Amino acid sequence: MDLSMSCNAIQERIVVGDALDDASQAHVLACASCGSLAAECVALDSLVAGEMDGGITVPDGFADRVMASLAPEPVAVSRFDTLIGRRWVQLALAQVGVAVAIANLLRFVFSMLVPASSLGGMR
Amino acid sequence: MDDGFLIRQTLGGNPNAFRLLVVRYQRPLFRFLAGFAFDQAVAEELAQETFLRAYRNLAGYDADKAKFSSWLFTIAKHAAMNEKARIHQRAPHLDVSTREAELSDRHSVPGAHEALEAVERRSRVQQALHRLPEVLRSALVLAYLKELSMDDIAAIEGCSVGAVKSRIFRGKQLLRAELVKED
Repeated sequence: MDLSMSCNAIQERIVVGDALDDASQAHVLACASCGSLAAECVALDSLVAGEMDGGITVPDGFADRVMASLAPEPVAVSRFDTLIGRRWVQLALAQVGVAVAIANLLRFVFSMLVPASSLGGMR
Repeated sequence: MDDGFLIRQTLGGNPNAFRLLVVRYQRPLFRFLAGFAFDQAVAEELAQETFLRAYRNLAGYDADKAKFSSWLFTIAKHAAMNEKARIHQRAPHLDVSTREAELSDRHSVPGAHEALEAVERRSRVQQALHRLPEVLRSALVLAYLKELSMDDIAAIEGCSVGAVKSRIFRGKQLLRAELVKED
């Protein structure tokens, strides 16, 4: 037991929470002042560490909520998809489709009404 | 899986990796925010904001400069300080007693003597922490988390390890005095 060790230096380490070497621990056990402070610190640390959360807890599903709030990554879009996505391209394609459908309908009706022979076709 | 691996995975487009980081740090982050005497709703909001900011700025995080935990707690500390300033501006007269009353209400079940004692003990600690100067409280709360080294705390506080120890020392002395005063 070395009571000549500096109480101030040891007490600083106790309060800050630094690990004490064997000699310092022996001093704390022998020295009333350091021993009392160490006991007070243990009590204080235990009280504060135990009560510091103030009843605040991590709510269930917190990680899921965080993940849901993250902005979604932009999805890579090809130039073809971009072109197809434009309104005027969609309208033009629709009109072409309608025109082809009408042409096919007319051709069918015309082929039913007019015999192929009258058009110079072979029997 | 260490933080570095999870960060690389997140930056590579794997969101599940970031989820693991959230799960790993959510509890110490909530405890840290509780040390600022925020209520549950505000603590949740700030914790979510902290993770969001971390995610958005992850590409700028430099592992050579600081550990991820230090970086994350620095973000949380700034968010907490801003919120404190905002609350103070909005209602300077409101202090931790509001929270104390809230806690008392939450636990005011007739006959629940132990619960009431626990609430009183908790609010005493919260009040004592609240009365500490901001710089002392922040260092002390980080030290009580037991998740961070002195170097980490120094990085978060933006000061030397010696200064952190000094703040913890003074913080505990004041805290003890506050708690004794209330007894």
